[in-house]
Amino acid sequence: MASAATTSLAWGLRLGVLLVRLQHLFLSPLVALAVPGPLLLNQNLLVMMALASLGLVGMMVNRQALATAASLFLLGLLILGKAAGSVLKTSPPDTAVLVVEFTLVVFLLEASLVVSTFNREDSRLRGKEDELSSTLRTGLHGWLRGQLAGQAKLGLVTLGLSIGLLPLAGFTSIPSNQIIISSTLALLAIVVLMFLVTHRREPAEE
Amino acid sequence: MFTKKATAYFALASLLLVLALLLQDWQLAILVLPVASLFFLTNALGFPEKVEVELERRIIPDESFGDEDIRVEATVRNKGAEPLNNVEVHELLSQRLRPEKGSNMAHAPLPPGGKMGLLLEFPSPGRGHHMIGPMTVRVRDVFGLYLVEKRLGAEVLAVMPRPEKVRGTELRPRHFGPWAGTIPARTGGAGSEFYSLRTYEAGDDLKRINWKASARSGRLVVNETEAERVTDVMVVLDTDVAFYESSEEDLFERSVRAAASMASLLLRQGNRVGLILQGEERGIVPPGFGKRQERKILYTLALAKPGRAIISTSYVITLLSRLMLPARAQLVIISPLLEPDILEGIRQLAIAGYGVVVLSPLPVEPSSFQSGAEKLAYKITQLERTNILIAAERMCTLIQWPAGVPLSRKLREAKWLRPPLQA
Repeated sequence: MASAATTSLAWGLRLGVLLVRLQHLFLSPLVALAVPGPLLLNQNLLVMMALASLGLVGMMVNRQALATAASLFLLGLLILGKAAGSVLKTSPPDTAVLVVEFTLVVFLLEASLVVSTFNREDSRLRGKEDELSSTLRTGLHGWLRGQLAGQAKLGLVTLGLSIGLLPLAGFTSIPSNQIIISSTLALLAIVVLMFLVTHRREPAEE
Repeated sequence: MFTKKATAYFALASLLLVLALLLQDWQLAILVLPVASLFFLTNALGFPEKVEVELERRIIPDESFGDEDIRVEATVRNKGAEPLNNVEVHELLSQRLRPEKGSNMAHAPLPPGGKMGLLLEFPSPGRGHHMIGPMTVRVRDVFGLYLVEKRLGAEVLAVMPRPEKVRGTELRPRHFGPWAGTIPARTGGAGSEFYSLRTYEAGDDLKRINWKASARSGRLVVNETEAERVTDVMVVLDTDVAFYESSEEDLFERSVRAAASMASLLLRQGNRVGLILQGEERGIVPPGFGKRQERKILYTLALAKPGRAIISTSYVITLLSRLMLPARAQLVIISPLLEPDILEGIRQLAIAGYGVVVLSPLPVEPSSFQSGAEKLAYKITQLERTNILIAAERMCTLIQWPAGVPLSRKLREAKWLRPPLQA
């Protein structure tokens, strides 16, 4: 059903959409298998399969809520897995790999929202072959292309920037015996984030 | 402005920092970097600080008689200097409007100075006022962290009842306007019907000399015609009824069409015509002349729907007629006459010298009844209606209009009464 929407798209775009649709198939093993076993009662494989199926079904039948839930579970699992590893004193993963995984989950989650919106809007126009619908369909295809390309571009730059900043972040690793300095650093980071979010922007009037 | 999604990402970043602090794990803290980079890149490069868009909408046609498709063309123009990559346009439509062509939602990118259209077409919905809009345009960055929303107010699509060509009204009010019309004014003047004979006066047209009468009387006598004038008419559509059956809905629609047809005919004849819509939906159009007045009346009639009125019909028609019509003018009341309450209003108006015509569409008997009780109830209702008709007939011109019979025929057959000077 959902795939019918993409048959009229260019090959490159169809490939991109397919990648987004199948994201949970390769993200689930990447995240679930890296989580310390005790956190998932040693059922990592089962959780991986459940999340992959949930996400895949959500994307294939165009149930945005299911796909988003699977992606959020993956995100939560990634963070909790890292936290659990810290508590259980397991060997830490490579920082760059962790950043890549985190970025992938976040960006593919965003891309899945775009594809779901595209499918929903395209289904409204399905079966309508008149001129008005064709014009709207062309606009929608342009929008999908622009959204996915824009997200991919920003995603890659974000990833590059994050990895580029890693050595700088290494200097600010939290020392275990200086809690005041650590707290100040964390507070400073929140203030910087706040600035980045709100600079030039006003709060939503919802 | 920033969206809920931006707030959620901010909360996630804060949570990561707190977790990192609690667990003293700098790797967790480093996960804030992608989120911070995302905010920085989106805020600085991904979304213009000022979004200037211009919204327009055209409804073609914005008034209809229900026999043509309706097309809505909405345009969004980017008046800023930066491209808008994620523009969503949503035109809110009432449930009865379902686009057959196009859609009421569109997503598209907008280059600087470019425009995008939201196009849709749907078959004309039934009679009524249908809201199209408001139209909401949401401009976001590619990740939906920031949002600018613009709105264009709703517009009304009026599907009006089409007036039928009717003939045969012979209104007999006691009030006449100063202009020439079609209503015999019981006084000599310009007209087509013979009125009386009078002595020739200098300046009279020689063609009007009645030679036989002149020979008999030994002086010149001329034929005088009856003046034909206009009058002031208030068309009252009584919708103060509760209908449940589809056949009754048809009865109601006939009433609305009759009101439209009568108003249109009377305006074409040059009268000053107004409208009182009395029922759940109320509306008043003060008397006026011409095509524009006809549009106003049809526009108000588009609103009509059956339902109980809060204020009594009798009170409303007597009060408004006295307020808006000259004394002894004409009223045309279109009512199924199912409520005896209306009789008091007709009586009051007749006493005041108003010419009252009641046009009552006859209900169609249902082909079958669900139970004996329902059949009995229907019969009782019809008996009560008969009583109302008998009482109304004594006070006004009553025209009963069965389904399937042309209105013009019933108007021609009616006994048009001139109200007595003192009722």
